Amino acid sequence: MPHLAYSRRTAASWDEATDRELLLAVRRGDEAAFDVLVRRKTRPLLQLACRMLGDREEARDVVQVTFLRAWNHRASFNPRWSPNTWLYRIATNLAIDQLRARRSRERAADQVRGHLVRLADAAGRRRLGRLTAGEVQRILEELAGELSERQRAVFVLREVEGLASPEVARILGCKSSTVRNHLFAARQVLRRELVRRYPEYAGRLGGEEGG
Amino acid sequence: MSCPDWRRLAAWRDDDRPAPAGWSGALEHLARCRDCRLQVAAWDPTLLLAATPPAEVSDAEVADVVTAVRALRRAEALGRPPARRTARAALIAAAVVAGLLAAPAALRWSERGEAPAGRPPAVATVEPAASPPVEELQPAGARVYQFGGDELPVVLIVDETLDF
Repeated sequence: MPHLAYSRRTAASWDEATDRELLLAVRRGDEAAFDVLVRRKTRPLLQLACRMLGDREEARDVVQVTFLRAWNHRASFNPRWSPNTWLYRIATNLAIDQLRARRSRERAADQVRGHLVRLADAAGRRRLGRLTAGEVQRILEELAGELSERQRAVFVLREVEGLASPEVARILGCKSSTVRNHLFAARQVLRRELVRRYPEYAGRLGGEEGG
Repeated sequence: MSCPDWRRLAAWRDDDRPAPAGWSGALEHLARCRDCRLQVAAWDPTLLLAATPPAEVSDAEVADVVTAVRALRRAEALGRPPARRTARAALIAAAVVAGLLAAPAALRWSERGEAPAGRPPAVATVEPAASPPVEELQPAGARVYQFGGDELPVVLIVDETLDF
């Protein structure tokens, strides 16, 4: 019986399997295949969650719950989808929930935070192109607070992960046109905030937005 | 990697296509190359925001996640998270201890008989009931802990089979 043959495989024997083979085995309840899948996908999922959340600990929690949900709902894996799409969908939805929860927690502290950000802006303003990658990361995390959870997810999945709009739409459970709208809005918000912080780009970026 | 023509390379962003092969490598280059950063900053600085380096994930961290996911799955398979299970066992143990402490007092009260009206019973004159030896209290498979001195020993019995 194929099922028994699969279930006898050890974790080591799954190492060479493709993601799809792994997920099909996981769908049948193969724990060894699931262990290999977790080991293989932890790194990319953690990087995605870190980009979305900007917080390592929260990202780790999201990844762990992603795998737990993937196991619990393994029967719902659609073999027509790419395995990454399925896992990204779970992780992205969890990260969006996390961002919403965080936003409601932070709402009360917004005024103080805004004041601190303005102080930091005034003290540390430099030409954008000359900032280090770490400084740009910090700015992204600050600016990302201006985006809605979905805009943020679309920006990371499309611009950073380089996924096609239809795949982003499948991950977020929306239409491709919605993805395009979110991406357009995200770019606008980011440009507006960058202009506010780095006025030397105001003329150029203002012209692009208007044109 | 040599500096790419960013306008051409990033043209995919204007439609629904996926990024071309090597996009993540180009972003890594952008994060490091000052000339490219200046060029992109003047053209579309939002692209700079996409070029932040990915979080570094060590093998040890991956192994930690694998272990944590296994533990979560086992806890779910048992029907409850580990912390709740421990708390439930502690509650059972506390109930057993309370019962043990209350039992000798109840025995003393019943042996004392009726006290004269208006006078408290002379507790000092009552012979305390002997507590059962600890060994007799121990159900099979349970762990027994004894604290305190001979005056007032506290016995804690943890019987995981009683978990309900």
